[in-house]
Amino acid sequence: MTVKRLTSPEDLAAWRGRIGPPYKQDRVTFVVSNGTCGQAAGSMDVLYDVHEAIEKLGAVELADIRATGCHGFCAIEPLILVQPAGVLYPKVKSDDVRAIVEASLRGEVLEKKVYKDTDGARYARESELPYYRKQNLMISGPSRWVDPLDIETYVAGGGYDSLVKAFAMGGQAVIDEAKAAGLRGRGGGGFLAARKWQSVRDAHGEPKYLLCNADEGDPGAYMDRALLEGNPHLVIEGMIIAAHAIGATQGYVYVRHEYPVAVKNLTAAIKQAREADLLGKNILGSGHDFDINVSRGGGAFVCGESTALMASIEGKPGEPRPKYVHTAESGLWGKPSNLNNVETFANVPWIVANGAASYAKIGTDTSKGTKIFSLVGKVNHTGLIEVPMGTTLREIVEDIGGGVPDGRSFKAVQTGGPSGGCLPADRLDMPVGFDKLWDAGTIMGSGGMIVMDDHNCMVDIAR
Amino acid sequence: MEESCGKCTPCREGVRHLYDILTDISGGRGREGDVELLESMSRAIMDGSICGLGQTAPVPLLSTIRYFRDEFDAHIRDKKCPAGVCKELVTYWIVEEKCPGCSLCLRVCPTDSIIGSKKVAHKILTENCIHCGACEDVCKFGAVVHG
Ligand SMILES: Cc1cc2nc3c(=O)[nH]c(=O)nc-3n(C[C@H](O)[C@H](O)[C@H](O)COP(=O)(O)O)c2cc1C
Repeated sequence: MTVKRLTSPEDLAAWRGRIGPPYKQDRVTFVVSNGTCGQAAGSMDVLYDVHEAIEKLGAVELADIRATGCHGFCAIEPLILVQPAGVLYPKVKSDDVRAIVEASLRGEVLEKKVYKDTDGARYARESELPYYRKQNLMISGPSRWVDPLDIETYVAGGGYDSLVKAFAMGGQAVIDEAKAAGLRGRGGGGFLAARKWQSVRDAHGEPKYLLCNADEGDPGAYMDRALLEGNPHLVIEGMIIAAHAIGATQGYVYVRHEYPVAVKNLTAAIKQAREADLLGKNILGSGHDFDINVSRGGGAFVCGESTALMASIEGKPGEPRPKYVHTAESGLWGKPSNLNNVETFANVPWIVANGAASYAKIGTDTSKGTKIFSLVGKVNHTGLIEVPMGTTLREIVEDIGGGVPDGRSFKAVQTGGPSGGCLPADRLDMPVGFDKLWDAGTIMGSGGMIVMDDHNCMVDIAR
Repeated sequence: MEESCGKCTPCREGVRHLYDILTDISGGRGREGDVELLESMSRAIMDGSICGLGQTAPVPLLSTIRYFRDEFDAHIRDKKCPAGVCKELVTYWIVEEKCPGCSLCLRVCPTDSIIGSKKVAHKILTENCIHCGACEDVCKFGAVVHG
């Protein structure tokens, strides 16, 4: 892959034209979900087996292989998604790969290897799975076709178009758009992104810094990891747009030390973006400068807190300080700084591309858009799910999660990770959103969701 | 519970005290008034910490008290763990009709608290039992139960 330097929006459009659509329509693309979770389940072996099968079948000219990040449904990995047909093969075993490849090349479906739900029903197409039916993958969906190590796969799906639009709109208009969209931070606090951006834009002092919080300290939450691993350019594009809005020229991504794949993919993506003039000086010929450094976290949970995080980047111990002086005025190195979560940035390109009005249509009165949750614990289908705000806990646990396994009964769901509260069965019809959860005595947090059954003791859980 | 950076006293010390009280409750040493104490300490921790860690650390506890108060009372008053998780409050016994006397449980018991001979139903001596559950895990007949 050779990246061409892009000196104007037209260059970007021309590049996309040369790349073509995300999947070649006259070839079969075998997509293997290869994030940290996929690799743990054996996706590297599957990738190798697919390569071998294609070669043995003499089909190199007919097939492509694509290694992507996590698709969300972690319980069924390793998986092969055959495109453009959209046929999904879950829990792939080495011995089955050749038959899957052969059938797919003939345009057929290997019925006996497609997904079987807990009730025994079979579904060939990924989009038909009950797991995905109530989800809205507006943020995590592109991780299905993007190879995080290949910027062209991101550009093919419309990547960096929002950036072009944002430059044309101007910084203040981007903030106004985020405000009208009602975008709230996904890092736990639910602060209005536009309000923070405005204070940093209005603050005096140069340079201004834009920071991305990828510390993801909540055990059990891994949506930020999945986004960074699977679609780093989405986060980068969101950061460039936000940097332009607040007038920042330098960015940092503070990544948890335990996320080596995320660091690798993000670092590679930043390099490719620089080579294409999407980062650095005079981005896309716009006159705007912005670059990103990757900073590896110290590992303590508290380092995810904003002031502790900034201290940690400066090389000091990661301890919070009282916020009499806001970080918008005096943050990193005493300069105006803005910190947002990975998922918050990942929402930005969508808002710019589709407009605040479309965004605000999704969700509830006070919580807009979607939220990615990690659904784990005593539920049949574990994984990452992306649902519109306002989806009820019952839909999440029963329809998407497929209920509690082994004939046991639901007892509680803990939202917001280890500092979140537990809600009982009679709260299941509650729609999820920042304020609704807080009123019920728990938090959205970063979106961890742990389901418990009647074999869990609540006194023990509280401990 | 272990993540306080140590800067704010309510978060550093308070959270540890919450943990100690909860450990007592799950160990059958809970006293009347403990739940109220947990609640008031939680509020103090939330009010007295500068960052979101201390401000949210007691959220799980307060919500479980709010929605599952009866489980706390069962531990404190009846010295029972309804879910059968808190080891110190759990008793193990063998259902005679189901036990064919295979001796597997007897072999894994770390405190030699199971007696019986081959092909005769075994019995657990509760005095020395440390509630580890090894016997239940190894039993293929579902004869070892706890409650
Ligand atoms: C103890 C503690 C840990 C935190 N850990 C994280 C974290 O891992 N990731 C994160 O995005 N925000 C974390 N936060 C929230 C951040 O302080 C900050 O509010 C957030 O990154 C801002 O981004 P947002 O406005 O986009 O949500 C933590 C806060 C506290 C108090």
